[in-house]
Amino acid sequence: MMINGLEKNLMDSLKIMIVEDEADICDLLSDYLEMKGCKNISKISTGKEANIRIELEKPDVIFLDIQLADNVRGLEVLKKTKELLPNAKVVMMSAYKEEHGQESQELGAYDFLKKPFHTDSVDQVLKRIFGQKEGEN
Amino acid sequence: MATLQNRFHELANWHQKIIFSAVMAKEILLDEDVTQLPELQLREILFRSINILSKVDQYVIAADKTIDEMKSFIYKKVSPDVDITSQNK
Repeated sequence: MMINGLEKNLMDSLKIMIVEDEADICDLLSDYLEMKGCKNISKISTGKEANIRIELEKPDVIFLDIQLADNVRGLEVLKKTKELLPNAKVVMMSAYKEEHGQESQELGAYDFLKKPFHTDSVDQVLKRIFGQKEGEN
Repeated sequence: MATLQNRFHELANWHQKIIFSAVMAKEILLDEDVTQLPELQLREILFRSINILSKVDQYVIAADKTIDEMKSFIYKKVSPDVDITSQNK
């Protein structure tokens, strides 16, 4: 089930990375994105691994949890990602928007999903990203 | 560490899992015209959907356990009869 109005080719080509220490949330978000037509999805649970694989895989979109399994803060990963890949769209995920929203924005996060978020919010973020990518092409 | 902040974080994660599971189970069924599918394929789709739904009750119970723990802690610090709407203004 695709997201209305989005090009299949763009969905296929997009490299997505999910950095989330809760395995069930990581799997469910991945399954959801796959169901929406995204083909290229990586799943990571620690900040240390995220830092390595972001540099190697150069994802277009990263869904990044702020609290990670190895206590590397998601905000540190965001900062490093924006230095390495300034065009990557990093979508922060946390229950604490009040505490981390401002800092995320200052560090260049594309968006902030406050947990718990509905899948509609994921659709909206993807539509905005695809809208921009279509404009770039 | 069992801080109140960590418990709120846990609670948000349980709710996150409940939302995603409910949507996934629904979309698996909506994605296909189930009335037109061969039996084997229909069984597979139903099995996937039931598999996801079977976790929802576990998530709800876990979320409730977290709420109970938070409630007993908060009630010791703040009277349960305090009007929190007026306190938040």
